[in-house]
Amino acid sequence: MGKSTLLRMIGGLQRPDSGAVVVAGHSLEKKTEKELWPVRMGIGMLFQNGALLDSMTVLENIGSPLREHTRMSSDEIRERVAAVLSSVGLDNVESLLPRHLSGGMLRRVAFARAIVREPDILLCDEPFSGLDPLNVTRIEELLMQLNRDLGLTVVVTSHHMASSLRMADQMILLRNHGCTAGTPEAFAASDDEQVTEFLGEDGRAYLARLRELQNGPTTGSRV
Amino acid sequence: MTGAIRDLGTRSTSLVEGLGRISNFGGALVASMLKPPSRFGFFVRALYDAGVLSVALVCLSGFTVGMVLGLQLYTTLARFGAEEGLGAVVGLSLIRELGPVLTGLLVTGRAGSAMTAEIGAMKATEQLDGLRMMAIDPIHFVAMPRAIALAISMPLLNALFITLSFAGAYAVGVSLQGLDGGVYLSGLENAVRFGEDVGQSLLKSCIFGILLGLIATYKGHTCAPDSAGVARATTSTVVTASVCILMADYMITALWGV
Repeated sequence: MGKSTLLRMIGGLQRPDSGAVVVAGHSLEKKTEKELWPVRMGIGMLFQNGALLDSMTVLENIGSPLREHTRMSSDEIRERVAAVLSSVGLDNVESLLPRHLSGGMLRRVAFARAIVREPDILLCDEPFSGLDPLNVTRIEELLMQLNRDLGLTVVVTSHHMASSLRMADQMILLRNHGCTAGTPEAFAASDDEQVTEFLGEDGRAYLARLRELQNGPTTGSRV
Repeated sequence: MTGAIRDLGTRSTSLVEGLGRISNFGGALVASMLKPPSRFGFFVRALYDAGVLSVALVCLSGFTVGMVLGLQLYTTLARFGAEEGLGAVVGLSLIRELGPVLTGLLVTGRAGSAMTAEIGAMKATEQLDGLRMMAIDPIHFVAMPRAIALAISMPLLNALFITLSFAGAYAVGVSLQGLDGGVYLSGLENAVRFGEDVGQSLLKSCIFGILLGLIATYKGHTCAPDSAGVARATTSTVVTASVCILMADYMITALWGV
């Protein structure tokens, strides 16, 4: 099973062949599409390519869940969309179509759509892929801010080890048969060859620097 | 021999399964029409895409078909000294058969394929999954307004096709071959019964529109989420809808004499 498949199962978009998927106390694997709606109301999802509706403007895209599920007026929706866009660092893009946005802007608009209804859980499928370092840092800060300020549970799938180690409270490494779970510190201390190989130079350098900041410079530091 | 029988069984089972799935989808489509909101904005946009953008093609094709009919029928009728029957023959053949069927096939190629490709691309780029994650029904949001737009635009385009065909036949029969314009028009007026012929022609094309709307949206929703899958679904829409339109035409004609 891949990372995206796992995330899609948490969102109820795919069913497992066996086993159970329990999200916020709801068992998803036997629910019909309609029964999944109340669960999905509490979940925001950021797809890898944004998945914005390309025939609709940024305002219409972000406003869609509000128009569908609330009684907010058009003016209230416009205000709410502007506020959410501002929180992701975008202004005056409401009238643009997705094809007029850069990769980083598209990802942030998709973020805005995912959080506009203030969900309890945010699922992010490869939020850093294809982005330049500046946008990676921006998205990273945004995710940590959402987790810190709104108390959102954020589940991120990523190959970007440095970002994952910086942000995560818990990490899961998916392997061919099973997985390894733990804190970033536990991963750093692991002797498992596959784990150290997967952390790579970036990850090891970050963890060494983190340890140095916590304990002071040590002899033999790789930083 | 055993393999051939097994193959036949597998194909039959998958055909029945396919019919079941499209029936389920059709049921969900009809149910979504009864649910608010009406999606009027999306419907108008789909009506423009499927209807207005097909007008030029339908007009050009209609006028050309009329010209060909005028030429062929005038020459044939003139052999029997019955050229004054041109208006009646053109009128009945176009209104009862050629108009609805040719418009159906043209709109299938122009709008039905585009609709499948659009919905298929939305599926391939996870836009439909994005809607599902926002607890929005993709059938209600995407398929329903487009299917209604096709069902409504088809009879209107059919009327346009027939009108332009009359003009094409008039241009050839009257202006080029020298038939009296009054004779052509009176033959047309006397042969065609408005309630029966015109009404039933519009009803027939409405049924073709419903069939095309169902097939085009179903194929888009169920295609494999990659570029090859979208291409296959688009081709399948054109083939399936064309065959269904021709079969439905025969069945409607045989059962109701329309």
